[in-house]
Amino acid sequence: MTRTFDVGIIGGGVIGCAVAYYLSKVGLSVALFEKNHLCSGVSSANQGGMVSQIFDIKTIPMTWASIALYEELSNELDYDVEFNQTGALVVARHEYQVPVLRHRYEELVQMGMKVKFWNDHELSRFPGGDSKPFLAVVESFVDAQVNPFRVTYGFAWAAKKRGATIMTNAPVSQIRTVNNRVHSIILEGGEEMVCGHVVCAAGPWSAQIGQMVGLDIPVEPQRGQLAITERVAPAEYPYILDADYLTTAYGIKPENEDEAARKRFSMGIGASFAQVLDGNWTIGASRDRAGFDKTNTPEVLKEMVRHLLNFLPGMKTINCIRFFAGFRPYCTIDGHPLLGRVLDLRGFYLATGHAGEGVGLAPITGKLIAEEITTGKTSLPLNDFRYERLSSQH
Amino acid sequence: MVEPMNKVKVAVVGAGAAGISASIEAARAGAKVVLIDENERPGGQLFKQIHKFFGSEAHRAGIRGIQIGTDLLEQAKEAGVQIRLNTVVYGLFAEKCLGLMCGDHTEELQADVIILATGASENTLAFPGWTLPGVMGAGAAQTLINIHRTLPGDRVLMVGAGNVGLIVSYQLLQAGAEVVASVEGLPYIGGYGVHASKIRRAGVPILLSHTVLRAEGHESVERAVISQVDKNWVPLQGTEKTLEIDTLCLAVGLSPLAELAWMAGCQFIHISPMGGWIPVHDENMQTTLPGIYVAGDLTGIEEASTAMEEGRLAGLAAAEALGCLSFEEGAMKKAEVRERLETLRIGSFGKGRSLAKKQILESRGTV
Amino acid sequence: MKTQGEEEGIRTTGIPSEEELEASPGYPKAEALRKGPIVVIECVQDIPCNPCEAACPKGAIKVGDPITSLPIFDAEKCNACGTCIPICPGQAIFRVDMTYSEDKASVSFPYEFLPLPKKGDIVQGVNRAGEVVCDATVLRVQQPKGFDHTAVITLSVPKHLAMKVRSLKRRKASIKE
Repeated sequence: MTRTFDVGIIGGGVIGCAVAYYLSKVGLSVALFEKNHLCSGVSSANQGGMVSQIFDIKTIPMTWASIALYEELSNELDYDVEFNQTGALVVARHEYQVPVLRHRYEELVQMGMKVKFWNDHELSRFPGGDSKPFLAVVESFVDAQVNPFRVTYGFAWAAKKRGATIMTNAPVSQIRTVNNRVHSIILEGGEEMVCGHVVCAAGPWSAQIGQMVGLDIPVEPQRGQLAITERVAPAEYPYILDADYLTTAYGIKPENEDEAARKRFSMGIGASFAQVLDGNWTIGASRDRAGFDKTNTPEVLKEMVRHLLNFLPGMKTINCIRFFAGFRPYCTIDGHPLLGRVLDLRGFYLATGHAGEGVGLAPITGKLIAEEITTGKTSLPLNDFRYERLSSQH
Repeated sequence: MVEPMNKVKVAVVGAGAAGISASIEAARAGAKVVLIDENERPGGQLFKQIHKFFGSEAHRAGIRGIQIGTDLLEQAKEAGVQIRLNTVVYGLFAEKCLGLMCGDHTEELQADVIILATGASENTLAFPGWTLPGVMGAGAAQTLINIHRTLPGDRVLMVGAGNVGLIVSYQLLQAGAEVVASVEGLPYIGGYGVHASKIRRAGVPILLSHTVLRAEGHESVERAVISQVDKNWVPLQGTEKTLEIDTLCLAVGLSPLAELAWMAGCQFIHISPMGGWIPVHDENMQTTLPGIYVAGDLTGIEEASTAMEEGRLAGLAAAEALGCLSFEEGAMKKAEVRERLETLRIGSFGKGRSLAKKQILESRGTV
Repeated sequence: MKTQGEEEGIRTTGIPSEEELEASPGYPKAEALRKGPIVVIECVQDIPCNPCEAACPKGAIKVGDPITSLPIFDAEKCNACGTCIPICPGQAIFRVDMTYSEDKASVSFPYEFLPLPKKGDIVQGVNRAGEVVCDATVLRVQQPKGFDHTAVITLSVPKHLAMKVRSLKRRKASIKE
């Protein structure tokens, strides 16, 4: 028995559910196919943060647009996504980080972002683990955290309320195309879902989806490990990142390499500490390529926790209660998201490759994909994120 | 994978009844064994069991749990087991590598064989007032009175009439508290009748088909409201009773502490009467991951006697896997242990557990 | 063991019913009680347990195989030495002497509470439900090392209560004791 939908979405994480919502909002008939349960991929294994000040320059305007959507999202979805606009501090503790931070600060000011470069007095209030004050801090105010589970479920339930069909435990086995146009999605159980359009929001499994339609989608799993602490009293600054996040995440090696920095670099650790509304701190995060191996490794965990104490020495007596890992969907060509229609296959759209920025970019991704599918025009340009850019970069 | 600092033949996690027994068997067979426990004293639940055990002579029937614990420790030391206390095993990582934490110091320990004997934790019941000081697990109360020689309070309501609830009620009386009542939601007493008889003789009423509705008090428990329930555990209107108490003990079941097995990727099966999620194991107590064994309450909530036997079984199997025991000797010794285990899993109290254990063995590869 | 919905018994009250007791092979028959001091085993559930068997120096208790079997008590062999009383982990063994005197019987039971009474004390005898049914005189308090902290207390009680009294009402210890 076949069913027919305007749009079939593959993947029930934060991106897929956002796309489902924005499409349902404008009245299209939508089906979402999730192979496991909703939020079972990296959408459930992240820090729930969006720190525009450390994102790639190309993604920053999109992030701001997404944050603007988040500001109203709980009301719109009638579901509390626990949007918490904490702002964020990016901290330099080593000399080699200071110029990088200063340069970024100036870029952000140019772009019109409200950021503060701390003066000496402000710095003196925050001694690190070695009792020395931080060397430089950039404070942003628009950056925020959400509860990624609630974002995913909020989008999914709201989409359902507007008529979307959400199917879980529904892995896709085939995508039929006819005359170079998507025709239908075939689930593992054999059911055929005829879809006018197909959106691939399958995160690190996007390459497998691409194979079904003969497309090389270079998105691979980038493992990240996180640790969680017990609940503690709310901190004055609940979102702190190491300036290495700017350097490591973008492949810049520390210049004067000390042993500890080298170790962290080899583990791809960009230190990010975020306190959620309930009071737990999330401690992260590492980057390595281990396929789909979800196990944690003691050396990474210990290193991340040790590094935390360089920023928040008072955390020494706090207990970690658990740790886990997730796979960021990482575009191996340039690390940027893959968004929008694919010229080579009509009706096929990408909403993947968000790496470590998926939670932040979910609302805007959903909105832009919905715009592209319905009107062909998007409120923000997608040129930097289109599939076609990859061929010019091979 | 960074080279681990230490390697060991057999690492046993948890020095309770199962863990100590496993260590003894493995060490006696000639394996080098490290027994790790997060507490400052070994023995797990044994040293809280001040009552005389049931079973047969082979199970030390008639001997108090504390004595059995002391004897086991002696045997472990004699056998040359290295015991590491105050050491938390915080992770079971790839290649049978354990993450250890002792004070400020962490290390990795790689083992050829790991035996997980991490026991179980108490379930809890949420009701209005459940977070008031004075509400605690029955096991916690038992630790307070039998290890720390401190009464949690003077007037106790015990929720749950399984063996834990009945035994701890009795021990609270012995410690000088008054047990105002034992309430049980089922229409029958789940624990041994003789344990119930002891507290009935001491004047403690056992109210079946009853549950606690709420605990009340200003800064700690001052009273509890109980009511009768129907067979669907729905409170019956008009049957509320208020009891003046200062302590509310919850004896509402135990759940295996299975995080390490879960982390390692062992297969699990869900069996409610055994406590929930159980790591699947074979007749040698080996999980679905070669070289990782399990024993004791971790593999399903039973008793100290079954924990000791399962520990022995795992220890023997581990020794055999390392070549310290010949196939024949291993088979013979394991057969003896399995026979003794069977005698503990019969009768009205045992056959459900026997069935559950068979279910676990049969589920390998199918779940 | 009976199932749910049956008449009141140990599973629904914590107290063995008369029927359960009489059906248990550990419970002596009326004639045996009349002859002199005799052990009374109130074991009515199939718990795997058998230390009573090995404890009895006269071989008057047999559990056999499987060890969930209820103990079979041979009144002929029993000399009422009471060795079994402190051994039973369920505290389900007692000794009764209906011939103690004209109007009194003696009842011995295991006791693990403090304060222990002393010989000659007047205490309150309680039945299986913990209800006070009589005053009783303490005839004997035994707590040798071999009993492993289980005392065996013997009370004299009105004869008609010999098969009812199974303990004494606990007293509060004063700080000084």
